[in-house]
Amino acid sequence: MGAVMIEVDALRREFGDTLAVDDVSFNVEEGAVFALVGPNGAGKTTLMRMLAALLEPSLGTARISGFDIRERPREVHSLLGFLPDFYGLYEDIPVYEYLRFFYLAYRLPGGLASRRIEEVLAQVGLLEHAGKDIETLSRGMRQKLGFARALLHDPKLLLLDEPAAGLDPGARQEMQALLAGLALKGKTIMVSSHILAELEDYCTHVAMLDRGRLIFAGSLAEARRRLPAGRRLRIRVASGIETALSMLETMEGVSHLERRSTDAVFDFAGDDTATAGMLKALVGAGIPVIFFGEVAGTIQDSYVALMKDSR
Amino acid sequence: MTPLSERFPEISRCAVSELHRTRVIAAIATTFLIGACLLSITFPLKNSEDVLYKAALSVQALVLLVYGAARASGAVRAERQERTWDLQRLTPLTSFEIAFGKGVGAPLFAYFLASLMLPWVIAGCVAGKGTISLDMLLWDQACLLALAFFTISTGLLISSHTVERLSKPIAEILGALLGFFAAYSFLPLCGSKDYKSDPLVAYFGQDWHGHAWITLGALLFGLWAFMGAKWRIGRDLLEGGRLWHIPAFMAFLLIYQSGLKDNFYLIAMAPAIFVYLAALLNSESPEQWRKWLLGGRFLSNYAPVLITASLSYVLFAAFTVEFGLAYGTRDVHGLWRYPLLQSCFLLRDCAFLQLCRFSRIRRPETTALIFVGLSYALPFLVLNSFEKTELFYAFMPSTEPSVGALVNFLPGLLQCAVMIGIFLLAIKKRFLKETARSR
Repeated sequence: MGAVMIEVDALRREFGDTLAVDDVSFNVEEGAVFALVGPNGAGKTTLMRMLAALLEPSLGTARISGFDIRERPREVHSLLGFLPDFYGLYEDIPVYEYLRFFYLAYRLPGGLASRRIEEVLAQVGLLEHAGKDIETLSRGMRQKLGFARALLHDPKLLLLDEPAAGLDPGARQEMQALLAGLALKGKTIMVSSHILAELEDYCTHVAMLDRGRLIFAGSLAEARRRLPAGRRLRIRVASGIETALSMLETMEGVSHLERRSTDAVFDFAGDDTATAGMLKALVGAGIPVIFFGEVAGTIQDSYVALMKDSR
Repeated sequence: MTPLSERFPEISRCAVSELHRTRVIAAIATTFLIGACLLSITFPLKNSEDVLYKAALSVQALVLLVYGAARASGAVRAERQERTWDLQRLTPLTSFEIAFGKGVGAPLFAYFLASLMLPWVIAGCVAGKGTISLDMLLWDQACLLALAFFTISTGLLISSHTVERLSKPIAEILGALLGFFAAYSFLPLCGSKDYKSDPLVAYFGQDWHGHAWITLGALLFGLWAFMGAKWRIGRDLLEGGRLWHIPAFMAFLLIYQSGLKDNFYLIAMAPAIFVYLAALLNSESPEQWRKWLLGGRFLSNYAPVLITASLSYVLFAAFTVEFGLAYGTRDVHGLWRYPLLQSCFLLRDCAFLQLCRFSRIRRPETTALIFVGLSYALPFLVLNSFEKTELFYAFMPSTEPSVGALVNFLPGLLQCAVMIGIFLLAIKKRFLKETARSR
């Protein structure tokens, strides 16, 4: 990491009277895997289309590897691979021909077309389907083909809008592995998704949007630190979980108490002394505690908390 | 891979999609059957020397002009509808490469069918026993190709301008209609025995025979249509516009028309029609106006087409009047006023159209068209029924020799000033805050 790949500077976009993206600013470093999250209509797709220099901002600008999206859109296009939230496929031609069309359109060296196309098809696991007509492909395969197209010219930056949408769990896992592999190769990746748990496995940074406004942008660690005051605790007992739950219910500072098998998970507003006191009380009551500790906040927790704050 | 398909990948994509084996075999079989049917129908007829030729040429013309134009009219619209357009926009293909690729690629099957009909046309020429000369065959083919260039380029222009509200089938129907009218103008000429003398067109003092005249016109207008399509595609690629395009096209129309028309002052009608079409077809959004306004330069490459078209029209109208009066076109009916009068009403209508686009009206173009239609039709009907035609000038561009020039101009000028005033207020209201903020 080091140099800035994406600089977003007070970007704003209106559609008639609707404000889709409202003065959004953040930076993405080279090599980062940047998750863009937010509810439907938050402005994720509009933001991505502006960053891809496909949609002109109403105000503000962004620079991709130093190229201004308003002034140098064609240079921006050459740097990025874009996977939109729709397939965008020519249904009546075979997979190989689809990629050959884009290979030629990207002005890549003519003699190497077959090798490069086979390479990306193998990368996304579609090599054995190269001769098939696109209209016969399944949803997952179509998404993979779109991915192959985005990778064809070996771009430095990948903008992926909902890449896992509509994929079955197996295909999602393959997609995740592919993204992790690309991240290891040093690609900068910006990915929008609703499936936050999956993003956590390979993303390094996250931006959260709500109703066009940026409510958070930073590393995953920073996002976790934005969890509400207090801590989330987990207690596991060898037996007597009911007794433990009823004791916890009466304790001051305990909220959102839930039972998960032989575990009790809850938010606790007390400080370290109060936490130690809680453990002492439970052990003193004869409850056989075998685990007592803090649960790390997930990106989902941060998202929920930040969304709540923003509204 | 050929150099052509490398330079224009759209052509090879269309070739894969349009010319797959089953389709090619079916096309060869169908054209063979059509030719055989024509032969069997025309052979027994008496005095049938040129019937096969004309029939085969008609099929060739219909395929190329109607089907070809329909395919071209759906080319860009289909990409927008199937959402492949954005992906093409991301490639380094230039607007010329995309426009040319689509112009050649989209109607590829039409070209193929037309070329399959060519042997039957030649057979008809041979069977004509000298009634169809080689010269005429070549002129017919040249004329057909020029018209195909015109209809396909215009189809591409329609397609590149179509917005979300206009679906691909409607764009294709528009293209097919255009092709049909082109075929309608071509077919009476084809196979004409004395084509060199009938019909003659006098153009700038020179006589042109019908084929040569149509070929020239189709090539010139086809070229402009292609440039228009390329420019519109370039706008999607975020390429800047070119300020000189519209004035150059208007100058071309002026020169083109002035070679034909007797009435010098009415030549300004042609640019006026273009302005109307440009204003209606162009889907410039308020964002583009904002970009122009924020740019700070009045005559920049971002200037909306409505502005460049209207201003060019006013300048050309003034030039036409000045030229006409200076070089002594005798004018007893005050016709010299017409171009300037039309300028006023045109500016009024354009301002209203843009005002509608800035408003919350759902279909601004339709609303503007209704307004424009009513603003001319109602006074015309009312005044005509009361036999007060001398008052036309108050409501439409009409020259009235019984009143002075200033009085004649006054209603148009006033309406134009009021509408532009309202329009400027709307711009101010919408953009002033943001302009100040961005500066």
